[in-house]
Amino acid sequence: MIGLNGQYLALFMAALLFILLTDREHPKEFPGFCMLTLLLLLTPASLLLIRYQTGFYGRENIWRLLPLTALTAYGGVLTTDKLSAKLLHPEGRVVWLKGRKSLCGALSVMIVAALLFLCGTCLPGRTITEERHSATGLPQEAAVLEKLDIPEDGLVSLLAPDEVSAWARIYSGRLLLPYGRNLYEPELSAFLYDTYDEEMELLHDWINGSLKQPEDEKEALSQQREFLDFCGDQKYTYLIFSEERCDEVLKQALAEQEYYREETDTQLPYRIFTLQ
Amino acid sequence: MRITMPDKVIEGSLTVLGLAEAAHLGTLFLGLPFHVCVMILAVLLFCGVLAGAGFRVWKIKKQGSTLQAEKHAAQGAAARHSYIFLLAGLLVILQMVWYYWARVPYIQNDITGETVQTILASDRLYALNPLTGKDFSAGMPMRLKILVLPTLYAFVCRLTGWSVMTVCYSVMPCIVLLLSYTVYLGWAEYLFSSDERKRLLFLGFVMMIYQFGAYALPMDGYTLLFGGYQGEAFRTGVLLPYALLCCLRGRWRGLLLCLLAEVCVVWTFYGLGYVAVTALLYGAVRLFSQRQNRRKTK
Repeated sequence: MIGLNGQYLALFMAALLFILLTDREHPKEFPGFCMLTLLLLLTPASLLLIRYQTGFYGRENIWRLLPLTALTAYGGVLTTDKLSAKLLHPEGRVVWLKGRKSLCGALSVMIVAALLFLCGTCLPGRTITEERHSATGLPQEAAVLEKLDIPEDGLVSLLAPDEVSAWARIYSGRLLLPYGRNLYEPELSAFLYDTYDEEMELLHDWINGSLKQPEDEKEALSQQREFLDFCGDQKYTYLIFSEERCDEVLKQALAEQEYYREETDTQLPYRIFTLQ
Repeated sequence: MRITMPDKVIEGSLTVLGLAEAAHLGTLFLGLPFHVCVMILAVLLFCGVLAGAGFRVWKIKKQGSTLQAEKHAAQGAAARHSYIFLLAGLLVILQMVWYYWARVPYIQNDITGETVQTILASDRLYALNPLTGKDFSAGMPMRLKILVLPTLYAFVCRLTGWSVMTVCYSVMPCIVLLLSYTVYLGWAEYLFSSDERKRLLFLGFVMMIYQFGAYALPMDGYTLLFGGYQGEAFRTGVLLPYALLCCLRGRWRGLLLCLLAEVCVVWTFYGLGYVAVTALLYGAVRLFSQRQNRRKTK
């Protein structure tokens, strides 16, 4: 709420002040509630009292208690009303508006709407999520999952880079993963007690290409072979590598191994290997 | 106190949530398969719909003329401002299409999709680790297992045959967003009961606040538009504003429903969530205002 992109908290405070000072029609309980909640949220001592609420969530979540939407919209309506009356006033300075009730009303609505727009932002809609590329709703980088052959009555296991495996369990409940999203998204640990051993962390780093390779080429090749043997022993049905990840050493190790055969004609920047 | 259309819609949906929770808990604690939960919930919902329809027929027979007059008044208002209703409806549809159907879902910090897929694939509730599909090594907290939304979504998937992606990230967020606007319709009626123009303006501003205010995590717009399928969105967009509205109108049954519903959809501290905090704060404000009124009368 106290973000860099928007100023709705300031707008909320302005609306609260405006309502308290000008609104004589409605009972004061609603603005009173807003005032008390705001004070509670701004005072560190009071925050201690409700600390338990933030134990499992980020501290900023406590701001959801503030009825920002209701009060700001309420303030917006009252402002429109007062502004319209002011513009319409016979002694007003804007001559061309005198007596034009609908025009004054429309103008005041536009001013408040512009204020809401300027204090907020249009950007998150475009930056937080990307456009859909397939009917399934998968992002472009996870569209490779659609190429996998998943039997209706069986289970298949998959080892893939993060951007793909993050969507695997959402795409199909029949896809098993050696480790879950909570390995690389620590916030998800709040949902599960399960943790992973060092072996899984190494496997994660290897498939993502973030594992440090030995400088000596023979040792590097041996390392790649070890991981491929491990995957074969574990009987992971599919291995997916991004094109960028496939360096010469990995390509050589993949060409030598006997566990997997490569799927051709994927038309995606990923290479799929299926257990033979 | 008059029961409005938003009251009926919101309290009806909270009742559905309560029935789903009953079926969910029964299945979870008795260790029954999910398809039994589907049957229990289907029967409960069918009985609920029958009871609701019966109550409605009885009410129409009892106070038919009053209901007819209310219906005519509502139709009259809709006809007078039909173009504004049309514009507002278009904006809401645009919001829904843009965020829930045209964009890739926002899945960070949430495991709803995986949980629903796991329930459907294993035909059990929380028997497997949703993130891997394998057996749990240490398990999952009970405070999360009791939450009903994944079971409800799996129920909708099983009933309709739609995919998990469609139900979780497209259909359900639309319903939650519509429920949220329904709550604010109730707010508009509470704040500006005598002025239709102001009521519509209020709803327009709510829409704009959702749209332009979606810039930070605790903002209502952000939660609803990017994580509309989460329990947090239901709490932020529906439960909290409705609970406060119920407090202001003295509709304690609605507040109680919100308190119970919050326990079913998000983690709360032994049942005391944000709705309880809202009720406590409102209690303090009301106590203060009553004291002031008494002083004035003395």
